[in-house]
Amino acid sequence: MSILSVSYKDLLEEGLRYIEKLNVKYGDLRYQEYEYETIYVEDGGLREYSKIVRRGIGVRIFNNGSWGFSSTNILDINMLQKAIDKAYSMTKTFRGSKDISERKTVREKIESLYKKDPFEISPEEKIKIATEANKSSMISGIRSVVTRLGLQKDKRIILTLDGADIEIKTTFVGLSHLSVAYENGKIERVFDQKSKVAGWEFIEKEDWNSFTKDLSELAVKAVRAPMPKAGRFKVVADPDLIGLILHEAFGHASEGDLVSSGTSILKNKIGEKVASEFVTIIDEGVVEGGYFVPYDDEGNKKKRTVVVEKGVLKDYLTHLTSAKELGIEISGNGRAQDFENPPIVRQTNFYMLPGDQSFEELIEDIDEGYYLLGRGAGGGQVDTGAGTFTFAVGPSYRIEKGEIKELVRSTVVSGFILDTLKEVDGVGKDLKIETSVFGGCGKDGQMVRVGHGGPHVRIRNILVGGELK
Amino acid sequence: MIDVMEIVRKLERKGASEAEVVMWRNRRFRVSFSEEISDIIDLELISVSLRVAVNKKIAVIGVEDISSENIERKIEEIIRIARASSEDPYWGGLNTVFGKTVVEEIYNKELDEVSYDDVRDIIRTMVDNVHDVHPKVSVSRGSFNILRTEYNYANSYSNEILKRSENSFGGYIWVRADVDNIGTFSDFFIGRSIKKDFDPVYFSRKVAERSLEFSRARKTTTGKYKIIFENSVAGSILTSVFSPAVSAETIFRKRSPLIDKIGTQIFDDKISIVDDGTIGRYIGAREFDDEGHPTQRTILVEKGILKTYLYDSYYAKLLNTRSTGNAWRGLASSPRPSHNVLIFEPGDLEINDLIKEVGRGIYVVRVIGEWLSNPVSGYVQATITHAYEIENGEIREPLKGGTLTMNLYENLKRSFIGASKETRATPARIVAPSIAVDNVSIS
Repeated sequence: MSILSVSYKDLLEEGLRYIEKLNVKYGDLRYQEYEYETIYVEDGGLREYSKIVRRGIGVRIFNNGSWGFSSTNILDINMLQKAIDKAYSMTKTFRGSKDISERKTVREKIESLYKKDPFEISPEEKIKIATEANKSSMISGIRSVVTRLGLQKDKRIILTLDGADIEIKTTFVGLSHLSVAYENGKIERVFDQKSKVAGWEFIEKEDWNSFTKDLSELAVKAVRAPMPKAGRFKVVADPDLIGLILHEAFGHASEGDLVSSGTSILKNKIGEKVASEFVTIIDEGVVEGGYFVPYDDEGNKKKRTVVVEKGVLKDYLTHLTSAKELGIEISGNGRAQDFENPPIVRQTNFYMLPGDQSFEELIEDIDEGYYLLGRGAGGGQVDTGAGTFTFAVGPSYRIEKGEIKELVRSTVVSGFILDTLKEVDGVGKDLKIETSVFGGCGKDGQMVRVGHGGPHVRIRNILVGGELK
Repeated sequence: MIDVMEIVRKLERKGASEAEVVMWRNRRFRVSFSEEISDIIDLELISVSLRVAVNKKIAVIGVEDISSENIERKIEEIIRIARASSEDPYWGGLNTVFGKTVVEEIYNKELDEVSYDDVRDIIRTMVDNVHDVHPKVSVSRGSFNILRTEYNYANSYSNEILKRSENSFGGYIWVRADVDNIGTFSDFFIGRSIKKDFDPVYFSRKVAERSLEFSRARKTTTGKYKIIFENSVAGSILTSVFSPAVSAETIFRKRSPLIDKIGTQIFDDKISIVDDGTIGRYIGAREFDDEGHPTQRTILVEKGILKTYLYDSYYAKLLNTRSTGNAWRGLASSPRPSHNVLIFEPGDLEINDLIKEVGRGIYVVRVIGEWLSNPVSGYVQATITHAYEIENGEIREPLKGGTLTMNLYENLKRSFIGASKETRATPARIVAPSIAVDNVSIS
């Protein structure tokens, strides 16, 4: 059920006419309605049913070579004009020498597919699903379990001075679970989630009780498992993990604002070999399993960006300002967390294209190494300038003489951006992309939903944290 | 202006057995820059959080659509949701202890009077001084922020609206030296008074000098080392691993390694840690917590012995004790206990003496991924981005890379060497000295 009334579109248009009179180089207005519900169940009982409702308008003015941004959640023309005046006054004091790219703009309304509106489902039904899933995971050896059901609706309207008029509605649902196992003074926690840009039908069709029970069983096994041996190893990373590696190790460094400011190790490397010939990396706004970004928050169509092709750096991710600075086409990656923040360059769905090897072929010539899994991993971080990245790995398996051996506990993996992808020497023929309604990627204090993934990938040499033996 | 007490009464009339309403009015001013200013954000937003109990059934709604019609709709909706919910068997009622602790310097009018021109000049000073250190050193990214929060609170038992206000400034610069090799370094600043707490010349020159040093960093080598964690790194590790472990929530939910450890030696006897929400100059200090309970100084670890945990009213009632005034809340979540300002008490050595004491080891000044550490087990893992070799009690060559692992409780109990006299406050509400520890693995 839409809660946007015609009057808010009128308000935006009135605001745009007000900006026109300021005689500035560029301006845009971004309206957002956002609803997010969480059903939080802990150790068999409902802990909290919570909901966020946001509505407001972000105002951006570009003039005198710099951006001014303000926003308001009091939706009348007086407050909107005040926000516009404030953004305009910033550009008068903080003059710069930046510029923005020219572009063709379009008008479009687009909505992600769903069958059942999750906000039309009764609270009782939502509580029942989350509670049953939580109780299913309370098995022997488990000390604590937390299940969250997450439901999101996000509607954005972007009106720009150069003619863009975009409306995007996204419906997004998922369930997350944490199991904490305890044995003989050792504690291990395993977290996982499944989300989809879809409606309640996705929640109905999944077997959440098995999902949470499997996680508990994994936690119980992991608490008894040894730590991996620290050092450099040949590894096979599963699609969950390769998505994280790409996102942290490469995705951030390809963000055009970081490139143009000199904060990325990929600066001036277009056309250079940055990965092995097995590696082709794509950033794409609408893809099965990923988040839904058909247009960015500047009203640019999100194009399918080939960032790396057969190991060669081809393109950066850009928005209006960074595209101009780098002298390249706008890729449609100007994204904002919400109406309270301006767009900055962000990834959308960042993934590696599959190759032609089976899983057995990938592990058959590994004498000593690890099969690293993303399930249970907790994210990662990169220093794009120093070129260092790190990310967590969930409970994984040791590989010996081409065979999968025992489970090892969660750890971290780290490396240098320009080294790691050059070490890829095998790419599986599978492909999995995933996203999350429970989190996203953080940058400059803003969190946006992203997707990532790829096939199974073999890396000849990566640093695995663990015990020194 | 929204009257939070009036909304409490409306919720009660609609059927809430208990109700709680919070209103935030926040100003967020941020200027982003590199070599020149690029983006400016200046906005003021009002947010409202409603929480009700219908008997023991709890619901929370956070609202940033603050039109009176929407607030009325959400009052109806939250009661419906609460009625549909199942009971929280542990619910002991909302907070009933109210009051304000005297906290000085928490609001500085100076920050309200800072003009756009003033901020532009501060940024220009930083950028110019970075260049002045070396012509090939430049500012890649930076920001300057001023935050102001007004917080109004009322619940069914408070009889009146409790109000508090805080403001602060802060930011960072990220600098790149493009000499023979690329070197980078970044640092943050934070405080209540720009005049008293911040010297943009000294700060920016120091960052620039370090970026030059790290242009010649070499990789770390695998081994077990004596490590000095520079104060901000030490603070960051404690925030990720120790702070969650002393929350009464993780204790009750059995997700802490400190369960049943009150009165036992968890760290070396030279270590004491307090939580103190009453020292206004530190970010995180406040007159009352997010459910109206006065803040206080709480000794967590005294000479290595664990003394208590941190409580909000929910877990205090559940565990039959008193709240320590540590409730923190988000827009749409119930309060949970967390540290106000975690203070690792300083040691008695100057940093150079601590380096001498270590003799041979690694001085870690920046890491990433420390937040991936496991507070449930105490297992610390982080990736080093910037460090120095310590040889013969002196700082030597700059280092980069390597994964660092240790167990916080093992290493701070059996392998603690010492802490420096000087401490540093971080935006994560922690004040820490530099800490020296033995037997840390680097791979």
